[in-house]
Amino acid sequence: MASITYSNPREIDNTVDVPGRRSTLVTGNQTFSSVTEMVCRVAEAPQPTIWYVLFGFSSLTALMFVSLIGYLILTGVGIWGNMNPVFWAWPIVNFVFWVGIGHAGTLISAILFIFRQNWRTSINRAAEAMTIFAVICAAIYPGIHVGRAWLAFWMFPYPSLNLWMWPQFRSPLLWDVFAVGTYASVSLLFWYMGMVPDIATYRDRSKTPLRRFLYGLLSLGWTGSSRHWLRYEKAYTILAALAAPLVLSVHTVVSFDFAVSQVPGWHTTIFPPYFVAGAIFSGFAMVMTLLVPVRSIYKLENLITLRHLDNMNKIILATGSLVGLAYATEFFIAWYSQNMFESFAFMNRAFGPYWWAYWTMVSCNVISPQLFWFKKCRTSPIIMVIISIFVNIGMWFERFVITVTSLSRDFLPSSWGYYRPTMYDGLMFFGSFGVFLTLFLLFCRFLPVIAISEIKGILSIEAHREAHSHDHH
Amino acid sequence: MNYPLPNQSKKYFRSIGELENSPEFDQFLQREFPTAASEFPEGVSRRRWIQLMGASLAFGGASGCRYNREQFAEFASKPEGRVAGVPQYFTTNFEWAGRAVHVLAKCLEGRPIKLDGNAQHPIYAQSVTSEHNDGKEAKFESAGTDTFTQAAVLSLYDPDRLGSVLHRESKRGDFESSDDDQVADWTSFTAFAAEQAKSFEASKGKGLAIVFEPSSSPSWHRWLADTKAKFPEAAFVEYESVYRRNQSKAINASGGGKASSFYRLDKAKVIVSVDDNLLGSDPNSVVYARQFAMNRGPSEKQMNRLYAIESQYSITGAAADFRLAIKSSQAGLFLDRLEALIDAGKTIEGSKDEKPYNELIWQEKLDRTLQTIATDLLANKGNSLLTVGAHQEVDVQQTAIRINAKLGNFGKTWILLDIPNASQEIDTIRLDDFVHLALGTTESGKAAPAFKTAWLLVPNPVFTLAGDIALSGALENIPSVVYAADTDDETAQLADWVVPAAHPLEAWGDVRAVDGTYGVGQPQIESLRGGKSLLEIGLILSGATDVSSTQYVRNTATEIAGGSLSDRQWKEILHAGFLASSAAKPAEVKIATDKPTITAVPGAEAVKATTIDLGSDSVDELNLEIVVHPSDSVYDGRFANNGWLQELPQPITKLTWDNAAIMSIRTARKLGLKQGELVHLTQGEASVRLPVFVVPGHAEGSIAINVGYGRSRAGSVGGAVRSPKDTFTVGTNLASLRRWNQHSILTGVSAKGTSIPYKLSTTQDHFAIDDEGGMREIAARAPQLVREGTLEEFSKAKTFAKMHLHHEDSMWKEPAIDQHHAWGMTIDLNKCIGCNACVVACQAENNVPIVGKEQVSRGREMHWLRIDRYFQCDYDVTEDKGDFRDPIDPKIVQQPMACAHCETAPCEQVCPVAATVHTEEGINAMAYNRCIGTRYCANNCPYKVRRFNYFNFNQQYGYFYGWNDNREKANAKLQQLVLNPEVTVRGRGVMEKCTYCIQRVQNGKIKARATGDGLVHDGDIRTACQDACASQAIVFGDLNDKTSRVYAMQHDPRAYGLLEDLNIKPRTLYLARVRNVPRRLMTYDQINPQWNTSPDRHGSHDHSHGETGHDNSHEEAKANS
Repeated sequence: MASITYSNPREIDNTVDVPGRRSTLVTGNQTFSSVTEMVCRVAEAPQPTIWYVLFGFSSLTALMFVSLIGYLILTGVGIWGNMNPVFWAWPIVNFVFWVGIGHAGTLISAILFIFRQNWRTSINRAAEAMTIFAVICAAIYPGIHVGRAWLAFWMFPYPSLNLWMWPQFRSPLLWDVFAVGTYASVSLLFWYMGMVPDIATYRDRSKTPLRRFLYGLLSLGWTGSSRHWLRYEKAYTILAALAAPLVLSVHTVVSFDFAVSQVPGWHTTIFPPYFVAGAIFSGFAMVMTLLVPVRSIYKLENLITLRHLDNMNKIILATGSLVGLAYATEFFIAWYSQNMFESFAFMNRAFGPYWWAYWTMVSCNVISPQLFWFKKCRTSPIIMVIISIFVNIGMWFERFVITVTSLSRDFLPSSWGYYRPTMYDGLMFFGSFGVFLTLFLLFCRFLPVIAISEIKGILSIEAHREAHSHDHH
Repeated sequence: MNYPLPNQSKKYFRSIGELENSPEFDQFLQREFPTAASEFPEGVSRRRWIQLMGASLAFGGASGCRYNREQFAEFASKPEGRVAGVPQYFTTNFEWAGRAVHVLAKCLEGRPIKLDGNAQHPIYAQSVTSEHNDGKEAKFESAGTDTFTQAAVLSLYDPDRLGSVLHRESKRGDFESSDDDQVADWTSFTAFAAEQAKSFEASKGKGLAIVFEPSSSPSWHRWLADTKAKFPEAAFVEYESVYRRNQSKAINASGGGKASSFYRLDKAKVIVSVDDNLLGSDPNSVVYARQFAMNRGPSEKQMNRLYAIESQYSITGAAADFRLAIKSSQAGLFLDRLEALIDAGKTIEGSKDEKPYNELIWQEKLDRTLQTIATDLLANKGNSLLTVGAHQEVDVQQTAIRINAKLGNFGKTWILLDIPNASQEIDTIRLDDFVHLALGTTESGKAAPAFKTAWLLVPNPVFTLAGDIALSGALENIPSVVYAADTDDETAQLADWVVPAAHPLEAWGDVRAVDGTYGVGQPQIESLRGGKSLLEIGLILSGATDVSSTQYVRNTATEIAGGSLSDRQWKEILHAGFLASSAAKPAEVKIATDKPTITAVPGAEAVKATTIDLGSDSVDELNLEIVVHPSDSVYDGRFANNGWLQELPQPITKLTWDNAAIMSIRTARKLGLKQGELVHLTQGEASVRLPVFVVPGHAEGSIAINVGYGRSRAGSVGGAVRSPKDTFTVGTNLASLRRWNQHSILTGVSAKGTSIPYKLSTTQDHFAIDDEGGMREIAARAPQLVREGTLEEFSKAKTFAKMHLHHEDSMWKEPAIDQHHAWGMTIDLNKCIGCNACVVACQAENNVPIVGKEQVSRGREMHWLRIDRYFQCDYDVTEDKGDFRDPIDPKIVQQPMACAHCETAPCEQVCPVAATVHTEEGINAMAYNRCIGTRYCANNCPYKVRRFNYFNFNQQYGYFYGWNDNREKANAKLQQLVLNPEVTVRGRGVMEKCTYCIQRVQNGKIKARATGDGLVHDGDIRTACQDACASQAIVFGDLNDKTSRVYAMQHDPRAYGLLEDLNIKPRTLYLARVRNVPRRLMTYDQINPQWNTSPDRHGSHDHSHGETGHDNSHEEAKANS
């Protein structure tokens, strides 16, 4: 067994840009075998105590979520705080929030792949997994949000023999079904396909017949032959090309739920780019929230280096500023349009009964990422985790502000209302985190959290050569 | 613990008492607001019900209004002309609290499910509008009803109604002793009554007291007279829970004798309503609303003018052309000054360069108002009317009568009628005297109790009577009390014989309309809970059991018809609902115009200087005024168990399930009170605690309260005793603050805040004084939503209400419309008075459930039709003074709002499953069984008229958020009988909304094809709201029919679509309101209207206060043009 060289990542600062030289993306003079060893250990070695603690907690939370769904379906959506005129409230806020989080994965894996951003290799696997799990959380909400959840399948265009009718294709909700469905399936495929060589490595290292069988099944008979690699690379590129537009399309379509309607505060053309920027923003923040602890718990600092985190923080800073610009633009347009309802909707957001939500959103989304202008903040794991959590809070509030404040005061003042969530709103939002975390912990436990084969492709030449001489890999 | 529901009728109903002593039963009682009305004891299946009903129909030959007597068996052979599922209509008349109601009852399979006014009845038929009285359009005239009539069918199926005779041997009193309830039956009661009657016959009735409500029923009068003849020594106690006798006393004192009076608003050009909710709480409000709306055309020739001088903002004040807020206790002084001006006879025309009304200070406003009204009245002698609220004292009533007499209005706009009344000569005593006699307390000291027996033939006097009279003590002092009860209520606890009173739809009876026209009330259904009508009970008590109530009523009818009445004539009366040309003759009286010399009336000058001073600083914390009104929802509490009425948003406040201390913003601020805070109101010894509700425009220093709430024994909806220590009530009982009921205006009241918050459930945001941004926005939007102008403006530019729109091309294709019909609606805001009748009518027609107070506070009320109410203020003046939270002279505009059936309906575009779609005839329809409940349609609806079933509101609703409960399912049975089988009952998770009563549209088309010429004629199809609308504000019809009234109205210059700039093309259009404001009382905005010159309401003003205050939010007002 090859030895793993751990070096303190602080000693090799790969965040320094030296002109003319590429910074290393893997630190500590790694070899092919040490990379394999480092990643496989995560699944093969006994899990640390913290894993069990977290898993116990999150799976109970997920169980609560499932039970609450049962109660909801038995009783009615009235257990939530939804009301007239706020017909959509927390469940839709949560849906958009989770879909947004699900954005980072495909952006990292597809767009950064196409642009040959090699630093993606250390983080793409975990980010994609996060995407899948976030989309699962997101997809639960529209299903249970409808008044008659047992008929939610009517939104799918299935050939129904007793109705002889299709869904109503002009509805953005239907577009959502297609957009999220496509996104989920392509992301899943992309994630899984990328994992095949690594699962084969897991298979080869398995010590029990059951694991060998299961990993063998999942690795689809991968042998690592050149022909396999050739086809794998081609397929991967094609899938990346297919997935890239989806990064833009999903949240664009989700934003259509709002933008296509005529509610003041929803009916704005800025929504598609604004939503996409926000989604990438929140997605990267979530990746950050997850990877910093994972990297430290599983000792992956040499693979997920400070440079990776630094790069991600720069993206958070950029998208955070974009989101801030969007907020300002909305206000400008509301004033510039001189539309009475539009103007009021935005004044009401900032100074109406929900001012607290609006200003929470602004401070978390616009102000807190500005700290990333400082390199010290970009490279300090504690600070970046704190900021990323703030960003996620802020992005949740953004969806709350858009959904709830716009609906609570629209055209006719006679129908204005003030929305208050119930206990069930809170518990079910919390419960969806349980589902998310449970799935992510299982992923860490059983699947390669880092793309082993891809990392090997970017090891520096020296390390490469050395690896050859020792291992004949 | 127990709940005093009777354990009776074992054959049909399993008693609720079986659940006693179980925790389930406890919970069952704690469910505050169950489904449509209340509970039904478990165990009656629909099938059993039908059997029961079948038997009732078959054997109930006495109720022979539907079928001939010979059809006694089951419907093995179908009665002639009867088609299952096709509704049948019967006229009937009934009364409650002395109000006569003339209705056409819609009965389906033998059960009445909907009541509407009997349009043929002379009282309605005489009011035909001048616009369309050319015969052809006469059939448009639906009569209209009020909210109480619409909700009466729900009370009929209320399972909490008393179901058997109760005999309480160990007498009554508190909660514990009702263990001794003895369920008796009618036989034992009849035996008891016969025995009593015999002994009283011997003693000439000494020791007998008969307590009854004033009534217009000739049979009842006859019974009273008969009883008087039989028991001459008996005491007759007339008790009216809401006292309205002051006017007849005043007429009597002014030389009018016992004439009854009746207004003809249709003949009046100028109407001055002084503290009188003429169009709202008046017993004849339906007739008056019709008459009022007749001259709201508008055109200069015929449009009337209504002034309202009042303390609480009422719907009359909202409908008025001009309104002034003064304290109710100062109405008399106001009238004195007016009389002085009328006596002076001078007309005062203002000069051209006078300041507009809104720039005056309070005293100037008052002076100018008085001058203008006097001038207007003098100019319209004989064509004017001045009315005063029934709660005002006799001397105030007399002043009003004098003014009218001086103006020569008697016989023209104020009719005095000589309605024969057989009981007129009976001397009645007042209830307080009755109490003193019963207790044996006299001025000189103790005397022997005067009564051995009392017959209480009046609903729940123990609850409705004021706190300062010890009626309950008096009843305890009477050995034998017989009470005719609706439910086992507060009074029933103190009676030893409690007999169930029938619902008016279950009994024979008769009424005299307000013009004296005689009408018979025929039962629509056999008594559901075994009750008998008051007349029947009276006949049993007086020992006259040899005559049935049917015969008794027929005898009365024969008498009135002139001594002979053939079967055929009798059937004609039943068919028409009235006896033709039986209206009363005008009374031959002379009304005195001279002031009574004994009462010194303060001089006008003195009045001006001292008493009428209502400037903003005149709120005296220790000398407030309280005005006690009956509730607009539950009246004196008798409708407390009616969920439709409890959940009906009260006019103006939009409050449901509660009463409150209503006061103005400035008064509340002065007293340091906040909206929703509990306040102690104290007058002398008496004190109540109830929540504050602020309404702009309320008179300063005046507080209005509604009685009828806080009942502890109404039933499972309106209040019940759950356990000896736990009573649930709806609202607050104000008994301790009420005085012996001849006084409704209490002065010298002090108020003390408690800082304890109280949750009030309103369907429209209460006036949020803490939110200036919102208030400012509402002030800016309201003039565009409810457009209005003055008559002057209208005569200059008929199209003043049209906005200059940039008509943009629509992205959407309008759905193809059938060539035959295009249904549409118009609502004339100039006629709508906001009386709520349409709201309840819609609820009754379309099976709209109630949801309870907690759900209303969550904004989940289900009304398909609502009345939006906006306060309007002079934007610029308010802008200057910088406070939209306390508008100056606020006006109220109201707008009935239901689905507008847009051509390019935004809801349809966004439904993912095509559950809401257009019909070929242009109705935006809901396919309930396709709806999955995404609620996207409701978000996208700019009118927010869609309603979502968050729970199974129609099936169950209760603790633990409607967790399935078998008891509730069983209990839903009786109240389900009120449901209209033509309308789907919606389940949980689906969206619903107004369908333009699509079932009526379909019925109309089917009827035209089956029986007519195949064509639907204009007016054949009327929606439920239209039928209920007394003022004819709502018109429905076919827009493809160029001769239809709705077509004409949609092409009226006043027609506009709400939010039409959204380009959604609503089918329901509104006709803008026109206020006939006298020039001198106009505000600046009314003098200088902006509508026709520029699309924006607040454009280029350059008057004194135009320069300031045009900030950004002011600009917003312009934006939407």
